[in-house]
Amino acid sequence: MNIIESFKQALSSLRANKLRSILTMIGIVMGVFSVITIVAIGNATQSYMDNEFAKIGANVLAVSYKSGTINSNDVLQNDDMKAIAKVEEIKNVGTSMGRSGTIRLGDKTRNANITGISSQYKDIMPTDMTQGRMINDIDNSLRSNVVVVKEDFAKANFKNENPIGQKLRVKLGSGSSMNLTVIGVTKAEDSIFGDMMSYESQSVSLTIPLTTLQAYYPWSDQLNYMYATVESKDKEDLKKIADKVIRILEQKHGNKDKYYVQFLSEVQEQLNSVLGIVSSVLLVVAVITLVVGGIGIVNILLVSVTERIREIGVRKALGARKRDIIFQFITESIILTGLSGTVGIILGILAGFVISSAIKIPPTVDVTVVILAFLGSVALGLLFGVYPAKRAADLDPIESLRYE
Amino acid sequence: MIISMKNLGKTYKNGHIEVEALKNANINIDKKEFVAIMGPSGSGKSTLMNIIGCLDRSTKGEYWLDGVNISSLNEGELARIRNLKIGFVFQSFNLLPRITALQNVELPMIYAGVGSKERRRKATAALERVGLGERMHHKPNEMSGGQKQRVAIARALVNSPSIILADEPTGNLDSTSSEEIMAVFQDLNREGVTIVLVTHEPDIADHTKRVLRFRDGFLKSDELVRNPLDAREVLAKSNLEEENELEKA
Repeated sequence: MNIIESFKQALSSLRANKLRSILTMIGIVMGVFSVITIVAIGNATQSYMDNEFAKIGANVLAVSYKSGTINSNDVLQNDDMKAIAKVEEIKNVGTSMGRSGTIRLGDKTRNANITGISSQYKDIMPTDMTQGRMINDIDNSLRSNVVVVKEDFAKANFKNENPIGQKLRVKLGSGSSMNLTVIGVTKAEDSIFGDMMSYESQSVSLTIPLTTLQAYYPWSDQLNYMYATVESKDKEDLKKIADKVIRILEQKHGNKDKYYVQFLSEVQEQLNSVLGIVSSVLLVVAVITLVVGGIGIVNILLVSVTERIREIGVRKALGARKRDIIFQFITESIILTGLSGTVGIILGILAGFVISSAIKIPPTVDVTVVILAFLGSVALGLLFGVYPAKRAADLDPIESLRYE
Repeated sequence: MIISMKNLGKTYKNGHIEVEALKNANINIDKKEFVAIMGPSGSGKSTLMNIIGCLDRSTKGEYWLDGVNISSLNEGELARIRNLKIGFVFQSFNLLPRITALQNVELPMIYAGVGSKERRRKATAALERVGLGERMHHKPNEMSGGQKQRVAIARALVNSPSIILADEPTGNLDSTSSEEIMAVFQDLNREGVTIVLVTHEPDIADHTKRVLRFRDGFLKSDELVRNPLDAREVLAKSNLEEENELEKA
């Protein structure tokens, strides 16, 4: 019996039990679907993160405190930035400081997140501008009352007017008020969660010079973090740089073991490995689903063998050899799993697109995974078809012809 | 000689008990013969039939079919012999229910590796030969018992086997249909087809040319039928009687 014939026969017997075939297929569809979706989302997240990290470009290091309780002597200050800038590998040093407040817009008051940034901050965490410019050196040295707003804020509040030069009145949490002039508008980012919240419910993000913000708070040249950029991504180099930075700070403050340096590349590695672990755990679950689906196939084929004992007897009497019968049942099994695999792949790719568009990550379809998933489901059919097929082929023709 | 059996025997093992179902059978059947095998249940006729049909192997003696020593063949070779040299007709028709008459008749040729066009042509010819040319696209459940058995006969014929082996072919049919089926067999035999038919009905055996009787595993008698009944004459007669009765009424 040739392949085309056995495909035709297998299809006709699967069609004879449509509901049963479909129900059996669902198990495999689910398995393949989960595998494809998980891999697709995993890959999309990975490439999104790689992209985001690549945007920052050069490697960034963050200096922070080792423990939560800080003596006044150990507090990082504005001039510490100048001190660590002397390390030759360090290119830019910057910091930011966040305070909350409110902003008066017409007759409404909204919450505002006010971030003070040092002048080199923009070189460490680059942002695209749609209009105007970012906070610079002069703003910081003059403690100018200037502000950079976000694109969506500008659109919502200034409508068709030019946002540059507009005045904003901001009340800080401490009670004091600032009158700020808009000097720049940053491009709205595609953030993962940004679009899940409505614009109205979000706090207004305002970026102002660090020194301007510090002027409103006593002892406010205390810093929580310092950021710096370095060229190297080599682990040995980074360790040396970290040591140098810490030594400078310890000398300056006369203390020991108070500061901690972390590199963005380390964070990236950690995130990637967490992502990898999550993906593999999910993948294991998906593969288990697939195996359970496969057992469903074995089960239904065994039922099918029992139901068709007589048919098998007739086929044998008419000249079917063992291998013809084996081939027939394995073909049925492969059609079941191959078809399920294809459906699962299509659904998986669709789900990948839907989910990535929902969380604003560009979708990625991994052709290798698709091909592997298909071949895998066919192999599963082969594997799970063997036992029932062997059972069918080993039936005694006389017994099976007599079977009622 | 199509069938030649020498001292053929079959012993079944049923646990520790051995049952000798067939003892020392010496049977020769020539080409173009029409033979009935008769006997009560337990007589060994089913065992003989399974051995002739290559569904089972003897435990003693030799069985030659069309010049091949069947006793020496393995399972795969037996399947090949069943496919090409034997045409089965069963009491319960044993057609596959999901496929049409034509597809059922094509089945043995699929296993013989005949190409699809040739298959269609031969299957159509076989169905026409048994008078079912018009119903070939019907499925078995859309047919009467007599029609189903004709499909089965067409299927048995289609690979031009050495013999047709019919196991109680009229057992599930009414007397008219039985007569019609016997007419088909007689026509085929006249055309040169060798037929071996197992039955327990003497009326049916009377349509054949030779009767082998079995009892307790032994061949008891081997007789020629003196004046075989012609199924077509029987049918014509009963039609006439019916008409007469209608006239009387």
